[in-house]
Amino acid sequence: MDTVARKVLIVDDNAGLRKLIRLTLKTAGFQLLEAENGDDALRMTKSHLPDFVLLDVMMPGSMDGYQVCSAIKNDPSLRHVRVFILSARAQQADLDAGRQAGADHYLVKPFSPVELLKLVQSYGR
Amino acid sequence: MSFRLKTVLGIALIEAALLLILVLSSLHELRHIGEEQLKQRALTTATLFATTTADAVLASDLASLESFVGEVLQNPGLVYARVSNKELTLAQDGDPAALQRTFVADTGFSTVQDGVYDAAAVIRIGDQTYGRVEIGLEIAHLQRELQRATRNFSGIALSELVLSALFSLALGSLLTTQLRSLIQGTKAVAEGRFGYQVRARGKDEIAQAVKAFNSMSTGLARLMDENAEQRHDLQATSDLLTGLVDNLQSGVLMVDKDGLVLHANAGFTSLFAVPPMVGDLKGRPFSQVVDAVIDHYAHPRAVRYQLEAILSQGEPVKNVLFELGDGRFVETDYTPLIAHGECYAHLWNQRDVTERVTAQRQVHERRRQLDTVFELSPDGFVYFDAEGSVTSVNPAFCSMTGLTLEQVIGIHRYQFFSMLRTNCGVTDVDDSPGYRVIRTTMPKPRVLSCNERSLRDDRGNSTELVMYFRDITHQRELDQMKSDFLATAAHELRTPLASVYGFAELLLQFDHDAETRRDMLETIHKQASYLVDMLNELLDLARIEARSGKDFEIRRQPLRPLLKDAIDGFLPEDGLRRIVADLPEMLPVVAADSTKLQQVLNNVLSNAFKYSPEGGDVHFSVTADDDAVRIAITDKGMGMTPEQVANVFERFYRADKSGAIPGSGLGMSLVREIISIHGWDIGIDSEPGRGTTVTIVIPLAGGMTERQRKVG
Repeated sequence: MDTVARKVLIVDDNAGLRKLIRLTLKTAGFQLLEAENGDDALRMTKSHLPDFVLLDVMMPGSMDGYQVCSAIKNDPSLRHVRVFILSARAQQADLDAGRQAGADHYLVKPFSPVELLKLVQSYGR
Repeated sequence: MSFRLKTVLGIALIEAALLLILVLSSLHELRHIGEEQLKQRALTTATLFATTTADAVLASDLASLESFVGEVLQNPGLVYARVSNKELTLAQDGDPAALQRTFVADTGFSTVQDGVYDAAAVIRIGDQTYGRVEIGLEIAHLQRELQRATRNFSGIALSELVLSALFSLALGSLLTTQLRSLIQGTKAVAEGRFGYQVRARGKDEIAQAVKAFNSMSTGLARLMDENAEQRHDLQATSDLLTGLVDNLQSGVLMVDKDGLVLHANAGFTSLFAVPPMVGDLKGRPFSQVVDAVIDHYAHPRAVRYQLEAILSQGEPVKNVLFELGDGRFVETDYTPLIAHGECYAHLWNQRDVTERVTAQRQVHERRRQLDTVFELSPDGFVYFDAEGSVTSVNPAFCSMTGLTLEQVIGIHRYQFFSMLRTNCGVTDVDDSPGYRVIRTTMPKPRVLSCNERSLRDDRGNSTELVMYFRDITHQRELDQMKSDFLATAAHELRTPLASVYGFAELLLQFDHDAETRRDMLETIHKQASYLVDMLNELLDLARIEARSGKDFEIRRQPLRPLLKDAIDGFLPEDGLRRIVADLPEMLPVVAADSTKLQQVLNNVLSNAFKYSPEGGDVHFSVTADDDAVRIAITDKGMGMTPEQVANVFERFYRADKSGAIPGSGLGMSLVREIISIHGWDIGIDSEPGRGTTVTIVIPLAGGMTERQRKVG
């Protein structure tokens, strides 16, 4: 069903990064949503049911990226949502935390936008 | 006076006296007897003549009378005879001279004048006296006899005297000769000629005495031989001992009970570098020796006093230590030598113990140094003895663990750690090769590294153990902070880099319209320059931290121009807003690194503008009094919450996380470092929504901190 524009929720407190991802995915025809913190991210996920959530880890607010991921994955109604963690944190511990949280993928910044695009596009085929 | 003479004189005197008495009394008796006999004879003769002539006288028979006179004259010794009647001499005859003399009757020798004893008898018949006869007896004969007797007696007495004198002389000589031999012999023995024999003559008591003397002499000779042997042995022993004493390294001085030196060995004289004069010391008074050597001591008076005290006590004393003036040390023993309850000698023994004392002092000094180190060391030490029990801990250990020496002393190694665990709330033990890291919670949360070192003896047997603890809490924190810093720094770099990398890739991979393209390129540029800034600040910060401001060029200079430059040089980003400056004309001279000050002001001003995006002027006001200069930079922007104020100086802390306000988060960290190195102060006063005032306080002369003084 690739004709239906898929929704992507971009969660990052850095505007520049959000812009990057936006510009990367817009050309591919994705519908884009943005959030700046974990609380908003979770709320918007529940309300908009995106297909993908691109999640930064370090964010202001009461929830960090791992918590948001876990929340989404533990919610039966949201389990189908693909969560990609995009983080500047590159330690093994961080990757493990990501996996534990149930992330579908862990990307380390700086990342290749093209790769991201390919990744997103590869799902749901 | 000699014995002989005495004997002789004595005997002679006694004999002479007695003989004299004998002779005199004998002669006297003889004379008396002679006299009596003469008187008797005279009387008898006269009486007989008288009787004979009585008739004739009566008859006046002259012829008969003459014949009678003639007959009577025949008697020996008759010198004359005379018969007379009452009127006249009838007949007489004899010596004419005697006849001529007037007749005086003699009564004794004493009355005889003419050598004739005149006696008379009366002629009597019946009661009638008819006449008288007179005769004279010659006494010369008698006298001659007497004289002869006297001579004889005297002669005999004299000879007797002489003979007995001679005899006693001879006897005396004999006696004295024997005695003299004995005397000679005794003298000879006294001189040492033991065994001298005197010749014994005869068997009498003298001879026996001589024999006794001889056997005594022989006995003595034997004794002397034995004595000589013993003495020889003694001498040999004495030589041995003297040799021993003289070759002892320690100095020996022996003093007799009168205080005179008996012996001083070479060790003694060499101790005081007295020239070898061992022989000369003998016989000298002890006090003299003391006087000679006392000045070698470091404290002569005290030494003298002590020596006197020792002597007066009279008890054995050992190991009295004295210091010599040249830095050497001697140890002295004193022993009074007692025999039969009496002290017969004093023995002083001196040893050079400089090496030992020096070594002891060195050890002591080293000990003291080590003890000081032990006490002062910031690392905790626990010392276990050879049995494995705690014997000592240093103060650092006690403060690290909150344990006292009393609590840990005697505890065995094997129980030590569990005790530590319990008392310090050990939460974590990390065993690495060679050491162990433990986290404690009591008395304070700490990280301690624990290490052990065995002290091995010469044979490699493990004896004692030292355990030492190092408080690496701070170090760990620093490490943690550093790695956090690096991690954070690296992390912080990733995000802008993500934009640069990402947009660059997008530009390369896809076509975009001109506007989008421009937008992307601007973003790349902005993020890249932000990266550059961040990198620069990071390096600055790192350098400042590493160098601790050593490369600061702090110079005393007028403050005003520096401030003016900062204000004038600052270009707000939008170019529209201005700094409202309030600078007094007179501002003092301060010690500052002008470049770094500019950086501080720049950063603060930059923040002031950045965090008041709505607009509004930024005020720059300066006040000065005697204590300090205060620079206050005020904005009317968004302000900060108390939490933000608390963290503003933290590295990478961003008051605004959204990225809307650019900044590395390092600006204020840098400011704080620079302020701190100058010894200044900085304060933030802020209210959310109202604005922020940053105040820099520069203390003036006297208000300089240690750091500034050091750096300046």
